[in-house]
Amino acid sequence: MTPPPAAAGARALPGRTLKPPPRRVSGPARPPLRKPAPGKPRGAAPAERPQGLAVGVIDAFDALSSHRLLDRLIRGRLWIGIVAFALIGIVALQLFMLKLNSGIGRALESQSRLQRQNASLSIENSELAAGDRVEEQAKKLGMTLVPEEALRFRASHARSDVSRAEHALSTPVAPAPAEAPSAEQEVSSGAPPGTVETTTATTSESSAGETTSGEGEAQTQPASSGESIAAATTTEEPQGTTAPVEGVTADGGTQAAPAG
Amino acid sequence: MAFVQQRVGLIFAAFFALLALAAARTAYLGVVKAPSLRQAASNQQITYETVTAQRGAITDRNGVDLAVSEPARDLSADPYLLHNPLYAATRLAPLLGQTQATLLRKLTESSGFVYLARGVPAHQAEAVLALKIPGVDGTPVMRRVYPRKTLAAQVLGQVGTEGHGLSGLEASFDGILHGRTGERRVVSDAIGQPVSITEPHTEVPGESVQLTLDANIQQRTEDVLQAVAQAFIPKDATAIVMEPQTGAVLAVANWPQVNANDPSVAPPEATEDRAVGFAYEPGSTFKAVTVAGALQTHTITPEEGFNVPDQIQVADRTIHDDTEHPEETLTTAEILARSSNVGAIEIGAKEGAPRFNEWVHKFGFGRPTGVGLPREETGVTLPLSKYSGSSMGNLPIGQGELVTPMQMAEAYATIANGGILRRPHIVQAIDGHTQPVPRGKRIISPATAAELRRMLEGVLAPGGTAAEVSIPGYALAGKTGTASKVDPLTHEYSKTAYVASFIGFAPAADPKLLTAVVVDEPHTGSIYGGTVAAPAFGQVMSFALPYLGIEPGQ
Repeated sequence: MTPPPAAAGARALPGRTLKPPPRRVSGPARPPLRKPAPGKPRGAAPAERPQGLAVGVIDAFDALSSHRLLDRLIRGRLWIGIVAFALIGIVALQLFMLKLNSGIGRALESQSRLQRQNASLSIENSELAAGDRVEEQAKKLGMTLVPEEALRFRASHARSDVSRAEHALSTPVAPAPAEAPSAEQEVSSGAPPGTVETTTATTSESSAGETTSGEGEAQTQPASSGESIAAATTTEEPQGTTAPVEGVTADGGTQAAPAG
Repeated sequence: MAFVQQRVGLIFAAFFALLALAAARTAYLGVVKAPSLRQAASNQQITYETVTAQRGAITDRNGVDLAVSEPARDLSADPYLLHNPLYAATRLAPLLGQTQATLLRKLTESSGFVYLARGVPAHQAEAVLALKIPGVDGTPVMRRVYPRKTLAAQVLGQVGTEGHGLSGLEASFDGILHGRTGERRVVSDAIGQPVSITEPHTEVPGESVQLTLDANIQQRTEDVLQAVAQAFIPKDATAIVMEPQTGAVLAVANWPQVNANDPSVAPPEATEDRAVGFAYEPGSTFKAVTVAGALQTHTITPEEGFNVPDQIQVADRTIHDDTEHPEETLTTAEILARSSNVGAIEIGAKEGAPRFNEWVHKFGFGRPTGVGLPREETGVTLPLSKYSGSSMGNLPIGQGELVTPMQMAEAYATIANGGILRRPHIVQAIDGHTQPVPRGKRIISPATAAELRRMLEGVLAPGGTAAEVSIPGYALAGKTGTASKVDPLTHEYSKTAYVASFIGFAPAADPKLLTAVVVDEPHTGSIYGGTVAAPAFGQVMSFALPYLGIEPGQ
């Protein structure tokens, strides 16, 4: 290794005491002080300098790079902290980005899985809702389809229904026999309507002229048919005690309801 | 000291040499090998994935899924990368449901790419990929599934392996259902973990299509057709259920049935939607059109009497009624109820060819209905200029012109709804946006339509051709049809091949539901519309009327 010139000089002149050169402080060299041109006041811009945006930008950059505050910042120890913070920040940001992308990857996988599950559930839902399957399940539960000829529609009559309802409300309900509670009582006690068996076999609607072609068949319907559809029936009161129910009813072949 | 300096110098030289070598190598890799290395890095780290857009679902009017897409994979292999094709075939065969021989044949092809199976359900594909067989890969795709299998299979159609509709509504609404495929750029690190995911092209899922079909009515209609097929062994059959007031189609059933999930096993003709693709001579069901025109133009009245013998001579042809009978006086209503050919020809003759021809076109025959189903036939109507002397002996009784079941349903819907010809439609909403009900055009007056409905009630009354059909509580109206088919060999009307049909609606006074049943060439039992098709009409209606909560009416 080549020794430094100062050391070589010291070795060459033994016995002579030399003052060591001043220790160099790290950092850029201080820029030389500009001396104003003779005959011109300090701070005055040279008149012959070219004008323009590019020149202005360069001047501004030059002024910034030689700014005292920047110079002090770079020379000071704070700069080390800033650089360290920035480096750590960059690494942290990279890590965050990696984590984020990894999360996106997982989210996409999750999306794909959910999409698959959703499709599977849609398919399953459609299959389960198939009429023949529902029918089969209902049969297993002891239900049977209402015979088509047993289906009747109850007509609603706005005026007479109100008066019938009023009458029904004002008429006390006769106590039912203990072994066969009335339909109304069962309904009011919270029992499901489907559990009420319509046994008013002798009841018939008397709306004038409202006969249906299936009425005769309906009246001769065997009792077993009525039982079999009991689960799907709605409670029907004897005429005059309550307003008729609008909608599809199955009277089990025991009641000839009028066609609306 | 010199020795030390020499050693330092040597070490320096060695390091310098190494540095020079590294620099040279860097220059070589960075300059000479740069393109290939860049390509290799790109291949290893950057992958572009195709993001298949989910195809829109097709649902019925109640939101029941009829066609759904689920994620799947196309499984492929690169035979050149396989170390042991026999081992691979043995492992893959049970998972893919293929024989080892089939797979082995694929895996030993002299090609760099071969499909093992396409549209494999995701869970099944994952099981295959979990085997980590080198060279076996899976491309994400969407697989079309029809949960109800045979339900409305001909109407829904099929989707090809590339994800585009091939037939049925899948084809006609492909632009809406398909969506737009996207692309994803994934940059992975050395261990394959994604470090950057971007989507240069975002995928756009397809829009859903909600039909006017009702899955339960559709199912029942198909069941009824199946029963008809078992009883009469026809060539094929079709049925349409429609709301005459709006033209909304509630069911379009076809027989033979086809499993929509595996249409390849069905014969090609079975996949055809006969409701719009079957052009046939309608026979007596067309008499309602003949009578409607004559009534509207006041050429006849419902109570007008006609002297009807059991045969009539028109030009060089003699047309008979179905049964022999002495000459009798029949009213227009009785002519319809008893489906008298001679009576209908007399009505047609009274109306005259030009006006009859005009009414044929007014009722929409000779052009597609525009229901929205693909491959719709237009039918064939004879131009007035081509009428021969005997044409008016054929046309008023529904022979000599070709119509589709959908056209007949549209014409009867016009009678049912009070005289407004309205385009039938099968799409209720697209992507949740309800489609407007097509505007109709009045072609006959409400009074004429009401008169005709009353007359058509007689067909199902005692003495009518479909007197055996009834639904307790409901007044039905309709018309039977038994049309001879032209023998393709002799070009004469066949004595054995017929089309039995029935078109009717209920409640007769204020129709809410219409059903058309067309049975092509029943072979056993009967050939008549009144015994083959009309009972099927009754069975469909007896389910659908209460199901829809349609009251019997007055």
